[in-house]
Amino acid sequence: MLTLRNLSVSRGGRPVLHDVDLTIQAGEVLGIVGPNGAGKSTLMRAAAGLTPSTAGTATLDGEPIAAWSRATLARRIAYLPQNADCHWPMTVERVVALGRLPHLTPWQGPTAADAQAIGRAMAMAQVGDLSDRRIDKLSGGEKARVLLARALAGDPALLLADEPVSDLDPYHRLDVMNHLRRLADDGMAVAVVLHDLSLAMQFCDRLALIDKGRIVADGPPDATLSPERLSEVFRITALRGDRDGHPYLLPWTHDTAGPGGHR
Amino acid sequence: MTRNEHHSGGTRRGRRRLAAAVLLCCLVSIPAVAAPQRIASLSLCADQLLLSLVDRRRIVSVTRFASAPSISGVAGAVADIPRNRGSAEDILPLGPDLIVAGEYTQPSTKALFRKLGIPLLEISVATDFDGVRKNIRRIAAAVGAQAKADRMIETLNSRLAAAAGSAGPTPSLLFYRLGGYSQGRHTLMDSIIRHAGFVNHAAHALPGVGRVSLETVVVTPPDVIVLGSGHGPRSSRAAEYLSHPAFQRLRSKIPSITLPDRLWICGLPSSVDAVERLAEFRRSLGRAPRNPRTATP
Amino acid sequence: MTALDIPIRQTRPIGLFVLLGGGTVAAFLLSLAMGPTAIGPGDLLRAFLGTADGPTTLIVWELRLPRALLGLMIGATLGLTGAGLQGLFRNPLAEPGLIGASSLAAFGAVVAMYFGLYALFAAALPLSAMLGAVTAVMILHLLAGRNAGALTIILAGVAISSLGAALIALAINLSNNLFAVTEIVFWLMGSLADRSMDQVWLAAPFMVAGWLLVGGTGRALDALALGDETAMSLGVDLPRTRLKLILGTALSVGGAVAVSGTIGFVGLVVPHLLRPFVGYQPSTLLPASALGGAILLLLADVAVRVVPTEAELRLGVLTALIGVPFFLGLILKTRREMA
Repeated sequence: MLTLRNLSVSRGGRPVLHDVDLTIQAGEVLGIVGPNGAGKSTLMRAAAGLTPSTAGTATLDGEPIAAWSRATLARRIAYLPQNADCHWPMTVERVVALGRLPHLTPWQGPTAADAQAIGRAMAMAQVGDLSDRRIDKLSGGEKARVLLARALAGDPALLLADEPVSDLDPYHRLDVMNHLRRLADDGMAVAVVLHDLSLAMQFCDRLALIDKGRIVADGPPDATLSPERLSEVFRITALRGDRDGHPYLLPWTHDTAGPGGHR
Repeated sequence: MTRNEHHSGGTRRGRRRLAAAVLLCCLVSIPAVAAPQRIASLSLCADQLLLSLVDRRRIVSVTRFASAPSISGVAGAVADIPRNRGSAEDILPLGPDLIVAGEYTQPSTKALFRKLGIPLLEISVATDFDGVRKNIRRIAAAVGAQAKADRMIETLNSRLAAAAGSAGPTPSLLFYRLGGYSQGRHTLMDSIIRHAGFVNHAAHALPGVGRVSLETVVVTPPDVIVLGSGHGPRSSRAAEYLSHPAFQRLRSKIPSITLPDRLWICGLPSSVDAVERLAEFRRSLGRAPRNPRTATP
Repeated sequence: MTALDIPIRQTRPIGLFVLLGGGTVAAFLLSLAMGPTAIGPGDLLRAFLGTADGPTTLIVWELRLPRALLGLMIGATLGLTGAGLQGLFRNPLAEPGLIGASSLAAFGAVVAMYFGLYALFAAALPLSAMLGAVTAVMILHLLAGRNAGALTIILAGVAISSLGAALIALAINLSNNLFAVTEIVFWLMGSLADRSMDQVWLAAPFMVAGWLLVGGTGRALDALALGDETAMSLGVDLPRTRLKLILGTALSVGGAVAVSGTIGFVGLVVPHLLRPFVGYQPSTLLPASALGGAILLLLADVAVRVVPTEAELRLGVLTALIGVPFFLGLILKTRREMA
């Protein structure tokens, strides 16, 4: 659905992404992992059409992203930034309703269809009972779920979520990832930036590993997060195992021999 | 202040004695020998009075307003006299031996001259023709022009008497100028209006200078309107009052004339021109005024 | 809980708008009824029906009506642009007076008036004022950037306002105007006294055009609450939104200031008071603030005529007396929240 080819992005004169090739397909959860500062957020922004590129192409459904009108793009792609927040202390319901903006016609208010989409999104993020609460009065985790609901309310074909679960407790982490998994099964293209490698291993169909602005691996999770990769890129070692045929991964030790050092 | 006066007392007392001698001489109509020869004026009104009382060569400085034709009657005559902006610095280098200041000259400037021991005469704003006469006399006394002053006052009086014209019903006159301002009781304009045989429409509500509400004018319209000096429409916020449609509507139904500011802004002998013009206007009205009122003494 | 169990409430608080609408009408009528001449409701009605006597009709149509209309429209302008600027800068301290837009607009008007342009053609006045307002907002935008902190906005606004006031005084003095001081006071402190229908027709097109531009940014402002990038991802054309807001503010504030002088704080107080009642939603706040601003300014203009003072009590002085304590309270509150 969304294809990045030879994409390079610079910020303030400094190159952040080099020659990135990546495809996000419908029906799969693509996890984007990598150390801090690798360029994951920039990659998300470029995919959402929010950052201009210095080289390469980004296409959605075969058309270059730049050729799509903002409005149509907004109906197809939902973007959820890192540390998302809402500046004005609106109620949860109003915040989630903002996700319907791309679908509203200029002179009409929200319709029943909009109301249903909002309701579905809130149910999915389990924030239905927070409907009347002011967003500034919520905990970090609750706020994160509300903003995820906002992104889902737009019924996007492609969801780009930058660290959507970092602030959540274990229950909600698993819950949200399960929902994303189900959305993908229902046909959505989902790309998530994750720091939690265990979650990445557990829920993603495919992982793209990014380091210093380049994609160093792209494929099934256990292949991408091979022990060599973990050591080289993340400077950690992990315990591995599997349960009922599903592999799991647990970061265990970190490499104290200095940057770039190997055991 | 008093301490300073005391310190420079010696020379000042000497000059005072001289002035007293001058006055004495004037009483026997012998021109003074030691009358001030380098007179500086800090007041527009004094500018004009001085020019009518003494030889222009005795005047070393006039205010910058003196050359503005809209407010000064001597605008054409002061081209060769240095203009000052009201500060002591403009005048001191000219070595004046008499300063004539107005009521609204900066107090600090006046104090400075007094401190330096330079004779300073302060004239007050004339609010009626008595005030005009008083100012003429005071300046004349200081500059040694008593005879001329007497003649000027005589002419003033006879012209005033002539302008008064016939008794009878006095129409109400509204003087309306920039900013919607008018001149109420205890102003020179009020005196001019009454001498011309009108009742001052603004006198009822205004104890002095002040604004007149267009609403009240519409509800109780005057018999005649006198406008302040022409200023281009849309040239300032103050000018917009004169072009307000409500006011224009009134003007279309009520006789009006314009009076140049320079005739009444200062209390001068030429202020009688204003009385004469208004009296002439009154005579030209022809038919009896709509709301005749008896004149208040 | 299924999706259908979650109640979705009305996004527009109808009750509030009924109240605000009614309040606006009431304040307008009150303004019409105010003046040195006693004109009762009966006379007012007759004047509008054309059956009143000459003087009353003249007073109502040429003196009271323009004053009330300008109070309504200028109040609406100030409230609306205040809410718009606060949405754009995501800061409750932005409003045309505080950020210096009114001040530079007044300077623009002063240049047009005292250097003969207004005498040549009337529209030069609001156009010139508009240019001044645009300059102020652009300077602020340059200085403050996208997410303007409270401090930056206040400092930049103070600088621009002071500049405007100084330039006004300078320009009027240079024009050799005998009434210089009174003129300066008008431009700096604002007034609706003795305005005429000519001025209503002059300013109205600019104000209405500005309202349409600013009013059209409601949804974008809602989206901007989530941040610039999220807003863009929701389809907001950010540069276009900014342009509409800046241009709209300049047009309407320019038109307003050209006929009334600088009146401040309305755009600060009204959105702040109304925000909780519209659920803090920027798009609803826009029309609510327009109505609230109209009510506030009309009532202030009534107060100016009721309070018995020797000299005319200036409208801007009254709004400042209300607005400054409010402003200080707001700063304290913001400081506490940031601490």
